[in-house]
Amino acid sequence: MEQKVIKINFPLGIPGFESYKDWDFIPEQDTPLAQLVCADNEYIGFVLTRPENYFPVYLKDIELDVEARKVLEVKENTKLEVWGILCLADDLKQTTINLKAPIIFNLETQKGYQLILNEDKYSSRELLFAQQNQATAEEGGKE
Amino acid sequence: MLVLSRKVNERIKINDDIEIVVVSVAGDVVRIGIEAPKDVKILRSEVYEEISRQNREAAEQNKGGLNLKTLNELRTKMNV
Repeated sequence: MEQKVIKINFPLGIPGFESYKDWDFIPEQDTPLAQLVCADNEYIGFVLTRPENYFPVYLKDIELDVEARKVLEVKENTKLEVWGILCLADDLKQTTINLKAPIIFNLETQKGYQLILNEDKYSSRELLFAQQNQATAEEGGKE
Repeated sequence: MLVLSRKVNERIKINDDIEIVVVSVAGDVVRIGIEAPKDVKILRSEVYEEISRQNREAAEQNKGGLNLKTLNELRTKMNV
């Protein structure tokens, strides 16, 4: 599989891994998945997915605070990428996604930030393949 | 630590631009309203710790060969 590696700097680190600022973002070509691997320790890494495939209205609920804008160097026409960290489980149905704290990238400046949403609408462990997950439920159910 | 007693709807001002108001008290739950400029970061203190824990758990699940199989199953399931 062809792999594109994008170097991303997290100026504030990632909660739980504050001391690691440099990460490799590796989006997969054929799936909505990506890996985020610590540049200084290959044994630390996350599997990410684009939340909108399973939670179509999610992106509208994300509002960047001033810290996020500063860290991500957001300008007027900046396009940002939003990804969710997955927690894998042997039983696929138990796979969860952290919607409380999405990972946001500015690929132009290669900056990253984990935003923590203040509202309680989303949890840090939402079931990815839950039935009620709207639009693509029929896709999620196809095996 | 400065400790102040306030009744419902009474306010506390911090600097010129932050105001805190006690919205309601019910049993041991106090609802607090905060008016502050947008660049002031406000978080329930336990939330950051929860996200740290969740991140460490997610990274742990992703460690080693164990989950290569799981990841491949996930790829198949999502790649429809």
